[in-house]
Amino acid sequence: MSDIVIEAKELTKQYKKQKAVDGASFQIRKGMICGLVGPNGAGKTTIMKMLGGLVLPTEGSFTIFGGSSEKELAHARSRMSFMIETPYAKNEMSARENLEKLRLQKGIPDRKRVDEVLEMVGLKDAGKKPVAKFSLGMRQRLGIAGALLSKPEIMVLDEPVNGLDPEGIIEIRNMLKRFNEEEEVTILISSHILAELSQLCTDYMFIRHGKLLQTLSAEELHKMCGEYYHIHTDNDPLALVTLQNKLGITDCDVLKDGSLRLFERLDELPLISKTLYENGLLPTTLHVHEADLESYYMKLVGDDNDEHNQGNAETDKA
Amino acid sequence: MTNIIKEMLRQTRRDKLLWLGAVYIGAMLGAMFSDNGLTTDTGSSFFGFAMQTLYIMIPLILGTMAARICGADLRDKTANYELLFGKKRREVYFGRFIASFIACFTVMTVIFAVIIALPTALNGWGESLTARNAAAHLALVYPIMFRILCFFTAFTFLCKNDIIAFVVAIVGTLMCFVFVFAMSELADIELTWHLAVSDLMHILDFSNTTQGFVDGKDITVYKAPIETAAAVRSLLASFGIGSFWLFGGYMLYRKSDIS
Repeated sequence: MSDIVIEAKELTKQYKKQKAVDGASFQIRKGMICGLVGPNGAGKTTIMKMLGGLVLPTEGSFTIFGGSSEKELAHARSRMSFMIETPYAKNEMSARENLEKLRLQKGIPDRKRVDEVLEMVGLKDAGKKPVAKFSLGMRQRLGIAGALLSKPEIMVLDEPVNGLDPEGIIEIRNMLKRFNEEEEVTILISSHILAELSQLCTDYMFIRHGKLLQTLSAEELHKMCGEYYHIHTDNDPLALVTLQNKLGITDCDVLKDGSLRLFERLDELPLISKTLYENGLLPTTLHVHEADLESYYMKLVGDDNDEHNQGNAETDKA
Repeated sequence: MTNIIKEMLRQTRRDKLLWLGAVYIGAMLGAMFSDNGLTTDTGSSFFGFAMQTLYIMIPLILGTMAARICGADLRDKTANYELLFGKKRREVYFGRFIASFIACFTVMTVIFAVIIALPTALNGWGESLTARNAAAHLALVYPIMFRILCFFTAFTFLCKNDIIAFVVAIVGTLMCFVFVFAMSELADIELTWHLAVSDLMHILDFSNTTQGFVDGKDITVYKAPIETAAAVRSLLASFGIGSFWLFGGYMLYRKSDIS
């Protein structure tokens, strides 16, 4: 297909005995905003580094804009921009000097471009302040400015909103959406802020322990997330046993506060309610809830590795 | 690659640390030379004296500059952007080497020019050494500098850190000199082209002198002819071993993962 801009086949990276990426195969099409979702150490950054040419694959291959040779990939990367991990910058230089250095390294003739991107990311007023004195958020903005310098066709962004304040997150999200919609920029993005990704991405790739678990569109995710009943009663353990024994329910989570998540018999609310009442249980919460990306992610990859999501996890499979 | 070279040279020109080093070395050499005939000796007499001091400085200056020019961007990872921008590893590596080469050879040429031009302008060239012989010595120094620079470039790319490369350049060079001195004094083994520093010592050795009487004046005459065989060995070693370091370093860098 001609609209595939990045295609990986069995991409593997092995460091000594550990496989950081294990046989990942995926396609990214033009115009996608693809979220790479996974816990720390899942292999997200390694995939991005392999695409950027910083890390060499142990096995497998990938193409960017259809090219896979060193020369073709170098040419393809000149049409892309990357922001991987903490943005690289010279600490003793100002934001403008750092961007000027990048402009010269890349050979971008337009001198005004530096001012334009500084304005875009809100660093125009940073003046001569050295990057060493920047906050994490300001460094992130500088990294994004560097990524925007060359008007890329594909952007690869590793945790781009990490360290930004809520206002900054919204600004960056809107900016990325605008680039995607107006200039058809394809974006591969990873983030720990899943709620943020869910507002931005058109597609998702879930990864854990280097293995790509699932690739699906936002539409497919929406369907797969589906709905569940959130049930809280005056005696949740008894409610669980009752629902299991009386209604034969098996697909049910117990949350940390003891309340229940019921994923089956979603069209039988009166029956569930009646069963609880008949067994002397008083439901204090009984409503339909639509699962979001976080819920789906936690269900898919579990919560054992990801400290960031422990607050949201709250699940123990019943 | 042109963009990388231009940017590296621009960065080098603006590098305060390098300028500070240049001022320090300039002041040190100036103080040392002004007390030893910079303005009173003839050009040829001072040339012979100065080269015997300078051969220790040359690897230190080259090592420091190569470490800084090649290694600073590797340490703070700003060199990664070049790969991410679509530059080939070949361009990143050889672009930095060429930038270091230009900067180092410019600096060394300026130092040589001052050493030759200042006393010659004040007191004439003199009879201590023919200009042809001095030119032959200098012509052989440049390939050795190439060899040293190749090694330090490769080493800096290997450790990806200008500070480590700088420390190794200083300590390693001094250790090499100690080793060469020890070999010649203790074991009576003269290393010439085998090591870049011993080759440099050999080419710039003006310690063998005699006294002459020319135009009513006593002068020091340097007995430092360069044998053709030694010159050829030095040239072959400089380009051969230099290329080995340079391309060996590139092969390692080409296959390495960059964190």
